Amino acid sequence: MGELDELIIRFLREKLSQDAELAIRLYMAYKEGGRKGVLRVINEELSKVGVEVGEGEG
Amino acid sequence: MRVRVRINELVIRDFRGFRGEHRMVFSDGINIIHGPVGAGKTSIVQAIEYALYGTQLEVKERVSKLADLINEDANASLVRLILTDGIEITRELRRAGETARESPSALINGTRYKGDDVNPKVIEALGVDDDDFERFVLVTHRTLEALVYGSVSRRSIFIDKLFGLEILDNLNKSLPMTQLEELINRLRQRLASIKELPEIIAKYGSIERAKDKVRELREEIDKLRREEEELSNTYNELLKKREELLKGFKGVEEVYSNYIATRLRRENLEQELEKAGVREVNETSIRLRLERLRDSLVEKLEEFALIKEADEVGKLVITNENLADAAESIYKAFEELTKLKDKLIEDREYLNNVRNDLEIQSESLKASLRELESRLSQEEPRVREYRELIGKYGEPIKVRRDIEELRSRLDKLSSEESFRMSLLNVLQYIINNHEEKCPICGKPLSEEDYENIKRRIEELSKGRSNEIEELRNKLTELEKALTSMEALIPIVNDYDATIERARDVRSRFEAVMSKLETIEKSIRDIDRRIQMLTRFIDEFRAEIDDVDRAISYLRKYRELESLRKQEEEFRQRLSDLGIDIRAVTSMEDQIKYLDERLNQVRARLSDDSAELSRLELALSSLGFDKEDPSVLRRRLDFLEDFYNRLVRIRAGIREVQARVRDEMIRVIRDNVGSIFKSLYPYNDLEGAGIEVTVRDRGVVGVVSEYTLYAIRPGGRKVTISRLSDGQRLTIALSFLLSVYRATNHNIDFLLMDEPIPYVDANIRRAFASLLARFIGEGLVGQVIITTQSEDLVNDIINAAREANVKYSIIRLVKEGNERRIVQGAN
Repeated sequence: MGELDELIIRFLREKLSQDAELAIRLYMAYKEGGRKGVLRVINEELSKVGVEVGEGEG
Repeated sequence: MRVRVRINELVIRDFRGFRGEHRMVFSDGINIIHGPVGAGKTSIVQAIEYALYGTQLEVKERVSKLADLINEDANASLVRLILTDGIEITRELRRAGETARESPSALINGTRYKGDDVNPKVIEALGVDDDDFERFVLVTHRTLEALVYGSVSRRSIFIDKLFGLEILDNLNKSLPMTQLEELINRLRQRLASIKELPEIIAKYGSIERAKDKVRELREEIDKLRREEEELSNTYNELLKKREELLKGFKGVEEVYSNYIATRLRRENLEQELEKAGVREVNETSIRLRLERLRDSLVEKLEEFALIKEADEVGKLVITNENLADAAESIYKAFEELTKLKDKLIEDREYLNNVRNDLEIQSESLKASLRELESRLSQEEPRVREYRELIGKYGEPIKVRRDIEELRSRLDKLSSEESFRMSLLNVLQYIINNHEEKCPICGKPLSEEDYENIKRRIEELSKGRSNEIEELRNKLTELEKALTSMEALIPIVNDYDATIERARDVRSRFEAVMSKLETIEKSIRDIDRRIQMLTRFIDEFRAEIDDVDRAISYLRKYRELESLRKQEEEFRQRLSDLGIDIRAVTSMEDQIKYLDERLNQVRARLSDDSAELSRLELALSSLGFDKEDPSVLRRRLDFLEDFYNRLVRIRAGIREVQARVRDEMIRVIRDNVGSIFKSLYPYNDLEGAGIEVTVRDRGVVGVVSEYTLYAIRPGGRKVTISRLSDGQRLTIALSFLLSVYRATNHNIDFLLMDEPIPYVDANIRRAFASLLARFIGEGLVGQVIITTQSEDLVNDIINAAREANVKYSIIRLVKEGNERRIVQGAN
């Protein structure tokens, strides 16, 4: 994790408190896998209620 | 001390266009990789990035796949990068169908790492990940073009990327908000269409049973339709039969239809009265009940002072013939009582409000009174003290007068005493020194004078010091008393004023309490009247309604009697016309029965069809799946909550972008100036800087616009667009290096892939001298630069020699499909 990542993660934690963990997961997922990575994290969350989103538009 | 790493050696085997194994060695200072188009310069840069991170920009941007890094004639490739500080990274790529499988290994600080451990360890050793590497270690022509020649927006996008803000922007754009909105909308629609489902489940027990009910209803509807058809046919046949029966008798239709209508009306009335349990109704009993109601109403109207209404109702004469009108008149008068009750309720409401206001006033007055009393009790001992002083010394004005008088007496006594003492001293001097002459007037002194002097000394020796002391004590006592009185006067004044105020507040409080008592009494009285009236109204209304119903039944009962007579007359007339009444009546009964039955069947058909549609609609919204609405509700709640979280995250990310931007600007602002100073050799500019303006562009969103500028001697700012190419390049490189230096990493090299293609000689030379200068200044230890320009190579060599900076040249030679590396060539 680079210095910039640490800075961004610190700011996300300060700004988002209870949503920060999800925001950080999304950020790291985007860094590792781009939009696919983001959708993977989103779908992990959505799987709790048995739905998912595809790779279509936004 | 932290050791910063440079590149020592690169070995590639079957990598991209390079067949077989090739090796190149890099030195400190400037390493120029020169070769024509297609010689593999960019492949060298890619090999370095790939060796470090297992990926590279083109793969990340999906311009190519990892498998494309393997030479097209080979099944595997190898890249080995040897860095200073004993770091060695090797990656082997092997084709696996369309993709490639990688085996990485790294030697860092004497430890060998393999597989998934390699990337984190390399990043830890370098302090820079692949994104950072692409941001400020790898410099391409896109970098300098955007910074030096790009429009404000292009430059701003690039700087956002350089600051790492682009990734946050892209993350926001990647969030599937529209898809989530669609999911939420679909769920809302489903839930809306199955809002009846809970009711259906409650009615039938479960969705499965509801589905069974659908099947049952379909079967029953089929059955009812068949029955309706049969009944309709029979009904129509009977109508025809009746028509034929009546056809033979001329002029019978009117009588017949009157008979049937009368009969039907009579039957309906009979049924209605029977249902209501009415067997016998007579006028007299109703009249007597109405008279009792009239009398009780008159009494109540008088009691509540509705004299006019009482008088009118009292005069009402009720007969068996005017029962309905009389009931109407009584009811009208009765309504005056209900109006009165409403008015009383309104009055009570008003009084309640007044009472509440008074209670608030009384509370406030009570609080004031408590406060005043507490103040009085605090002041009381001081007032008592003052009064005791008055009792002892009199009013302050008298005390002041006494003090004046005492002071005057004391002054007089003191001067007399002083004179006595002086005289005594002189006389004692004469006696003690046996003076012959008076020391004051010089007159000769006789024996007699001496005797007189001795006598006078005796007289004068009696002093008045006790008297003076006494006066002083008295004066002190009075002064003390006066001081105390003066200190107490404001308290006494306040005490008197407070007593006045307390008296006033108490009297107001008592007035409020008295009003409150009166109002409470009135409210109690009104309450009692309302209760009494309510009881009477309820009982009276029930009774008059009952009488009203009885009058209505009476009317119907009388009508029934009349209908029976009419029916008999019609039957007689039909009989006279030769109609078989029994046959006709039987037919009519059958028609009536069929009509009723048809109505029943049709009503049931309509109910069943409605229920079937409702069930089918609700169940179809589930797609006949087994999902319970509560599951859907939970899912919708979760999705809405999750959507809102993402909305918050998006907003949070935008704020984080702003903070990162501010932080980056803060960190690099000073660096840009100092680096520019060390790179720029002339004195027409003395520094450089960067500013940012954040603009809200509506639909486009918030955009940041950066301005790079130089500073003239005297502090005037000059934006980059007004500078020469060389000056622009210096600012751009100062800016890049300031970002490079602002980040805490262990890399000491820059990788430049064809940074300035197609530029004129002036820019080329300026760039070459900048490179040499920032190596010379120690800003970066090593630069690896690729170029196809022989002129740039020469310019860099000249600049390096001039600045006494180390350099080396690696030439790439392309011969047909083969590529060679010539190390250290000139």
